[in-house]
Amino acid sequence: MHKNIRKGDIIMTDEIIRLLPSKSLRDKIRETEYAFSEEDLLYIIYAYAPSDEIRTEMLLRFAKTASPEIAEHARSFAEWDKAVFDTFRKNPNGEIYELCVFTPRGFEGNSYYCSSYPAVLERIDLFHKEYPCKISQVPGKAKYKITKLPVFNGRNTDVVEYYSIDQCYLDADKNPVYVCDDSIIYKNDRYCRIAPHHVHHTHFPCFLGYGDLIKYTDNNFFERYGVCLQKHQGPDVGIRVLSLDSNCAAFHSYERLIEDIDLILPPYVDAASTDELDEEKLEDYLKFKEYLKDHPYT
Amino acid sequence: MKNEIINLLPSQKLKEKIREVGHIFTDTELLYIISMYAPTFEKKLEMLSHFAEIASPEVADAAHRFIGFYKANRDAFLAKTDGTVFKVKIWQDNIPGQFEPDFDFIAATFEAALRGIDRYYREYEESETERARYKIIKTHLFTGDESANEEFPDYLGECLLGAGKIMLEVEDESAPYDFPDDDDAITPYNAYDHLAVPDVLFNRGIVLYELGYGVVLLHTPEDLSSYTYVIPLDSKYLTARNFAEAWRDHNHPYAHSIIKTVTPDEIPQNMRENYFAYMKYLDEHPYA
Repeated sequence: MHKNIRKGDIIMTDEIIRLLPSKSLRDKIRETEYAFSEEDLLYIIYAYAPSDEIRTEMLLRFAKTASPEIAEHARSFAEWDKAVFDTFRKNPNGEIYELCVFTPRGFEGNSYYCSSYPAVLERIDLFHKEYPCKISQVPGKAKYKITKLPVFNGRNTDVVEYYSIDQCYLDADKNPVYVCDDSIIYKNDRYCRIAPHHVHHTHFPCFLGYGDLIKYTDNNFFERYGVCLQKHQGPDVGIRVLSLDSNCAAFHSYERLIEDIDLILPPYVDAASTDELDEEKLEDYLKFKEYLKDHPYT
Repeated sequence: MKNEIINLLPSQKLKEKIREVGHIFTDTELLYIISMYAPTFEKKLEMLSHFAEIASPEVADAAHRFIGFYKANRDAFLAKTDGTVFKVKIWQDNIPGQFEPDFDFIAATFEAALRGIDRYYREYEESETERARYKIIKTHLFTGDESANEEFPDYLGECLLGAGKIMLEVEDESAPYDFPDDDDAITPYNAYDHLAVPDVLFNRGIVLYELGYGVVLLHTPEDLSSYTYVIPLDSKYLTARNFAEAWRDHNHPYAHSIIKTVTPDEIPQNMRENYFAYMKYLDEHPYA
């Protein structure tokens, strides 16, 4: 492990480690006195800060104490974030926004089309007037998904493309949880160079074992119980898990196991106890554990 | 003309049965067959108009009102309206309802939607097939300027086009619906529920219907009711071999809407496996 944290940075390091959503991982880090490099810490801030606002503030503060090279990266990342969100909220070419609302059961069925980003925020308020629901009961942090879409007017020369990766997830207070607007990369070489996609993957201490019962946030920001299908070896690459909500686990039919496996980043995974499961899920978990004894997943 | 109308029904086997048993449809039923199964929107208007000339006065009057209603839907859908966008879905070679579209995009106007379809074929260097289908959905574009009490349904209407962008169906929520709210009245919305046909289905038979392949269950030969009970053969319960829960996925397609009856050899391999495994389960659990 790298060990180039300078004196006086300890408090900030603790604050950064607290950003990791997984308590099990945080405990393991403390227990083993695991040391992160400056690059690792930068990546943790960038990837796991709970909101854009906190991320920017922490990146700029981290830049003040980091080595010159990492400080430059931290400032670039902060600039990048702001630029991406600013770009997402503007629609100079008449793009529209598609709003999907999460409910406790998943996506609310309808999509709503809005002419501008402020209109999206008003549509959210109107949605709650029309369909009062307790947004706090929606599992996970992201409550709204917004996609920016080009509109074909019969003349534009751009590719007619509906699927867009220009997306933004908002929390219950309508603050961004995650924003992506790729148009910024294509329009500005400088942003292409400083884009944080190139940041290296962080190494974490091993804290999960094969067959462990886990609780995790899936790629749609839903909280689920599942089973860890590999020993977590360290690098921040996805861990293979089977959700107890999957058809495979719920129906005890494991022939198509591979189709139901999720790949989840370790900091989104926590160890869980069987006491947390209801009767049905506990049965599903025990059946699957039994299956794994005879059919080890490799 | 009656033969021409009966020929509109999708199932060849059903048509043969109708001829074999000499089944006679009432004028109202013939009107419903035209309104549900005419191959294109224009053909529907044309056939309704011709049928009105030979139908009983009451049904002829209904046919004229149907024509007025369908034209009002088309005109409302095509009318230029501020604050709307069109979501366009393209199926190159598949039936909408059974598969996700191959491509979709947003267009500013109906005309732009049509140009976008042409452009899709140019950009992807594909050729249109006879089976191509395009669904154009008109939706409200929320600006935030809507007044607090203004009603603005997000869904405004939709139109289905076939190869050559020929209009097959169209509906617009704003078109006036001037028909009695009575189950026994002759109205476009009563068509599906009021068409009894001779029975050509059988228990455990496989059918192709608008949502794909399915197996017919709980079928009683003497029952001429207009819908049936089908478990889709790509049901997640069948795929997961959770047969006891398969009923949760059942559909009620109308018997007259069945596209064709098929044998296990004619369906995809995964569905064939599901079908035989499910039949074995039903043999072992006759009361399931």
